[in-house]
Amino acid sequence: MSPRVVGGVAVLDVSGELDLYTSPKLKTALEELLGGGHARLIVNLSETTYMDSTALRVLTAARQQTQEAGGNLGLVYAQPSIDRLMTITGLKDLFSTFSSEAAALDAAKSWMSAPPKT
Amino acid sequence: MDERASKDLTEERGRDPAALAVGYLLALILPFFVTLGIGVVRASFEFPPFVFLYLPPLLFVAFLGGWRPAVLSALLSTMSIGYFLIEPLGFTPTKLAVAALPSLTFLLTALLIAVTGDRYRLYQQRLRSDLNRARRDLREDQLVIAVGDLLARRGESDRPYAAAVCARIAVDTGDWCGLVVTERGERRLLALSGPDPAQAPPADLAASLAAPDLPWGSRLLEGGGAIAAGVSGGSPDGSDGASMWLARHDLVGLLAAALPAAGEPLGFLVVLARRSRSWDRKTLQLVQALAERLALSMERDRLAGEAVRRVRERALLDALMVELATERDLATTLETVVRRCTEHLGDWCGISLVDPATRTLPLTAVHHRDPANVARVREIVARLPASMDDPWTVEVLGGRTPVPIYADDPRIQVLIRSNPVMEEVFGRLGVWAILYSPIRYRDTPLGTFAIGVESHRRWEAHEVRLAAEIAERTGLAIQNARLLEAERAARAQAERDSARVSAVSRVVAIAAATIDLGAVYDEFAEALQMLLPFTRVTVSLYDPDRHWLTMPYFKGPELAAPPQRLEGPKAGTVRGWVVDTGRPFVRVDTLDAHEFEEDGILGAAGIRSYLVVPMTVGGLPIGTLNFGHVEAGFYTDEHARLVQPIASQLALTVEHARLFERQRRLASELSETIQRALLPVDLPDIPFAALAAFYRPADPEGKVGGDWYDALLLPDDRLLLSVGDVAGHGLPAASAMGQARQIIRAFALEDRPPARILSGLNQVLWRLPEPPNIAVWVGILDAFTGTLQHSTAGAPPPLLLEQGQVTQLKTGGPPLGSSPRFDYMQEQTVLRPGDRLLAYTDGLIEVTRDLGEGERHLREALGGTAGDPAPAAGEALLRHVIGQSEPHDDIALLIFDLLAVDAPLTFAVEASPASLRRIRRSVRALALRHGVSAQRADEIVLAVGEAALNAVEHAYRGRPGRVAVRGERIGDTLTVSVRDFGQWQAPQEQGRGRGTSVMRGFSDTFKTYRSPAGTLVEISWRLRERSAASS
Repeated sequence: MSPRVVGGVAVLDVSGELDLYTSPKLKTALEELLGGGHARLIVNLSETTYMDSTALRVLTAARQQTQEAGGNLGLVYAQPSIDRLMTITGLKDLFSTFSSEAAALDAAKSWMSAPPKT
Repeated sequence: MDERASKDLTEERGRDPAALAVGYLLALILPFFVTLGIGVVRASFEFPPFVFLYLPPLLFVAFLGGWRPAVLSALLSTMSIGYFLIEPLGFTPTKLAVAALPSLTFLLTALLIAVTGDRYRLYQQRLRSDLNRARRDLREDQLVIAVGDLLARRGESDRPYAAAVCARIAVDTGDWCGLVVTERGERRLLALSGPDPAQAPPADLAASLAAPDLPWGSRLLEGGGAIAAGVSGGSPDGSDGASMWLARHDLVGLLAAALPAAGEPLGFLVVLARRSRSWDRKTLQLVQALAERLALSMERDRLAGEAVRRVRERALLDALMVELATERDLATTLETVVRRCTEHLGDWCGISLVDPATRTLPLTAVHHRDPANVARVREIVARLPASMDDPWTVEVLGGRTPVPIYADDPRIQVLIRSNPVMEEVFGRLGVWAILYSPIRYRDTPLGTFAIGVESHRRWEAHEVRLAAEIAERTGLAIQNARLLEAERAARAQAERDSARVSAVSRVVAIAAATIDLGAVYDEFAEALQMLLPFTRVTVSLYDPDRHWLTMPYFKGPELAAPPQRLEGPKAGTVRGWVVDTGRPFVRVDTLDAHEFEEDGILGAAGIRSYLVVPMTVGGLPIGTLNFGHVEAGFYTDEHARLVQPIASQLALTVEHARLFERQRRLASELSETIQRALLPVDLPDIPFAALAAFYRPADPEGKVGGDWYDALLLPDDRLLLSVGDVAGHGLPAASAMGQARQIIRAFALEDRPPARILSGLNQVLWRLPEPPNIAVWVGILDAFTGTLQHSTAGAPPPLLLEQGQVTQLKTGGPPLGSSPRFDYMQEQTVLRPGDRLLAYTDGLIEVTRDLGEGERHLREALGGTAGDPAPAAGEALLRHVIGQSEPHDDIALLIFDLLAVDAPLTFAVEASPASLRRIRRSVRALALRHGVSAQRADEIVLAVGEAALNAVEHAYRGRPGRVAVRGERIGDTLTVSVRDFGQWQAPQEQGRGRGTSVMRGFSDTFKTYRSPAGTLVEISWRLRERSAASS
């Protein structure tokens, strides 16, 4: 779970499984990015093999914080199971989701100009 | 005496000097006239024949006067003849003168003879004497030689030669010859012979010669030398009375010589003449010489006899010494002494030994030359005064030398008269002389020793000396025999002690060698049987808490009334008494006693006497050792003393065994604890796999061994399996086993493959001070794929059962700890669902002591377990293999089954976040096994993951708990249930409801069952329909 910053957007690659055991790490990583002033976050889930509701909870909370900071949190994934998970849980509509990181970064440029919501 | 003797001897017969002179004169004158006459007549003759007339006187002179006058007269006669030859006829005065010249010469010769007549006579006499002497010398020499011959030819200490010598002398001299000797102070006439052997010597003469009051004889015997005496020429004073004695016995002379010896003369030799004899000094010397000869001979006899006697005495003493030195008891020793003494010294012999208690001298041994008399002698001597205070005994005991006693001793006479017993000894026994000796050892008088003879004789010095020596040796021998008896007694005691010691040491050895009390009692009973006979022996132990006696052991005949073990309260029992007092108890006769409970019971069983000995440890009684015997009065206090050490030893042993038992129980408990601690309590629960493990120690008492099995689920869900065997037993082996097991786990958690685990463990072990030798197999198995990586170090390679066939995995390297560094090979095998892997330690195939046979047996057994669940298969294997005999070694075995595809998934995990992954993995594998697509599997996993998440997150709220998962395909429906056993807490955070949405959204059926005992979530998928729909 190593964050990188691409064009002012922080990208966090998440590989493996995200569950009750590993989600706290994700949460910590996101909080560090947020604490570092990053309001535009992209979580790349392309290499994530499993994700449960715990991870969804962490991501939802993080998205809330970015938006409060005037930014946004985008998710990148291509797995049908995650897509289906997002759909079932009704989060697909909430999150900005992308099938590739490039698409996400493109979209993120627009987040930049957007003033933080107050 | 000598002069008188020589005078006697020089007397000669028929030599008258006067007649001699007339003869000489006539012999000279006659030739003159004859010559003259012849000269006258001659004138008428041619040849003067008168010459011949000279011859007779010439011969006469020659005969009478020797050869010198004869030569002279012959010379003169020749001159006369010469004259006549020159002048044949002329008869002139010159012629006459010339013719007269021989006559004149004769005349002168006669005158010369007359003048020197005496000397001539003496000369003549000497001439004759020489002749006689020569003859006599010859005769005497012959006699001496003959006597010498006789003496030389005689037998040893043979006296008849005396008679022969005397006879010879008598015959030779024509006189009487006698020989008188002194023996033991008495004179004895050995021989008296006359010239005629047939003629018996006059009795009065014989008696007189041997009479002790013979004066001249006494003088000879006292002073030695020789005497000559005659009836006429004897000494006038007659002090010897020899002349008178000769006259009295009608003898004319005697020649006597003492038989000279170093001390007093041995006797004398006497020659007695009945008629006048011309004896001279030479004759006396002859007698003396003969006497000397005899004396020498007798002395030699005496010396020879002495030597023989000494040799015999020495032989006797030596024989006695030898016999006495032989190990004999006192009675035999004394019998030997009296027998030997009787043979050598006397007619009987007796020994009395001092009895200090009664101050008497009872007769201990007696012997008589005639065995028939022994009893009589014993009977009589036994009645002799035997008090040590008897004055006679006091004298003998106080002295050091034997005291001779004779019947004619005045003191004995008094005793004989005053004491009827002494009278019997000297009268009825006919004893005449006794040698009464003290027997002493150093200064202690031990007794007396008496030798008696029945003949009238005195004890000789050598006999007294011999008796003294025998007494001395007897003293030594008695002391010896007493020492020997003491030694025998001591040895017997020592043997008894030794028997006791050996019995004790035997039971000590037994006690040390065994902790089986039953065997100990048996061995003790056997040892005791050698030491102390018994009819029945029992052991009673005392329980002080209950005041109770138990009888763990009894041996011997059955009692009349059951129970055979006399157990019960100690009150009223003899064993209780012994336990209380700590003292042994001896019952002389049970029929006479009713004091104790046992008296009646044992008495009824025919046990008349008994002995009860306390068994104490450190002064505290723990029980009693009891002996019973059918004989009354069999046991004594001595027996109690004898078996006390055994009883103590037995007590120690019993205590020892009790301690050992306690210790063993403790050790057993400890072992169990350790075993439990060291072996995994629970085997990991693996999806699609079943594990079963067994540990069977060789020691059924639970002694901890060095074998182990282990199974650990690694973080990546792979399974670590190990089965090993540490050489040896007990805590060290168990400790090494624990270490090895943990190190294997540690290395496995570091992701080391099995071969590197073993190589690393080997290096670790090698660095230990005493590297343990460990045979081990390690495998890491991925239950989802069935991939098994494994490596073997000295352990039997596991067996694989697939499709009913048993194969063996590859063997590996040497046991761990055999070399500092070894790179073990790693093998890989892929198990398929339904395969069964058996890893085991060699104890399982060593049961039959034949590895090949054991392995074949095991293969068969394993083949037979196909279809059985793993635990049942393990039990069947153990039963099958061990069922035949007891295992020699520990056995550890591990069975891993990769379950068949249609087998349900069932496992449980700890309720922790880390377990969730395992649940998902298993469920994913389950889904895949049943042929669903990867995506569908992902969805199934998502649903189950949420269910598991709920269970982990909400059921226990941080407290430990378990989550059980079961997945099963029934028909076309795959159902997975997740169950917890906690209290469901309602989600409080926002977004908690998403889990339920996921479960519902990703499943065909979703049900939740809640109860106070927990929550069950059951999720189902219709496989075919769904897969059809998705495709």
